[in-house]
Amino acid sequence: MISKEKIQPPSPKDLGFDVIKCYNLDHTKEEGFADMKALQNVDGDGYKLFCANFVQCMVSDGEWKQKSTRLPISGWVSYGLEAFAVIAYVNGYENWLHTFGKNLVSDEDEVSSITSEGVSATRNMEDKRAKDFRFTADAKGSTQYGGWSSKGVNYYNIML
Amino acid sequence: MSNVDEESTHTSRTSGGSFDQERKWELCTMECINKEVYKYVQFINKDEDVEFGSKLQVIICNRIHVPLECQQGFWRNWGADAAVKSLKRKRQTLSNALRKRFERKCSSQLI
Repeated sequence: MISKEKIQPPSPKDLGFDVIKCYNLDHTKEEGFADMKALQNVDGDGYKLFCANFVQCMVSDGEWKQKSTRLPISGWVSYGLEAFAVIAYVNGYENWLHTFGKNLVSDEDEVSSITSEGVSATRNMEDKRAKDFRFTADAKGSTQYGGWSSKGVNYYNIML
Repeated sequence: MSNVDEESTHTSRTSGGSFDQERKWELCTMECINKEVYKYVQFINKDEDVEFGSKLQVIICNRIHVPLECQQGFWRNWGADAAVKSLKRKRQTLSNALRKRFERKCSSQLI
């Protein structure tokens, strides 16, 4: 048996998504908000890793097979769809990491978390906080993904 | 609610499109959003973006071949709601796909 495709999903920061700026949504693009072009030009492999592994979810399998090997993603996936992929990923990252990322936590971390009650309590608080979705959880009348907060939609608009 | 009841609730329909025809266009609208339009429109920010006369309405109605004289009635009765609901559903589908992909990438796949 061969283990394949296991990766460390890039964090929003790896994508160039600045969490602090994200919460100051009165800012305009001119004040330095990251737009799609800025994200695409971020140093490091975070954004490339994201595109190679997650943007595929935004298009049909047939389209991906047909175009992904021949053309750069920016040439055939619209800016809007790419921006939505980023915002949906950022929205769910902490929750998903909390839910699915346990395999990525080393054994040493697990041991240290149960050796001390204090550490364990801190961990529990972090766990609780980590379950929140960034842009959908607090939107009035929202379902899990359907109701996006105005912050999320604003950020999406600014990225375009 | 039966078709008859539903039809009676839409007494404001001013178009020449029959009830059945408008329901067919509604399904076509959903399919159109689901397969094509979502690539270019992900959120509807303002009511104006989905009103009769908006770009979205014109594109969809032309795409699914709604006759000009029926467009207004269809859009007000069915089209606008169908477009908003379909986009919402598509966002959910895409987000779920991302979540599943995230899960797969986090756990080792054994082959």
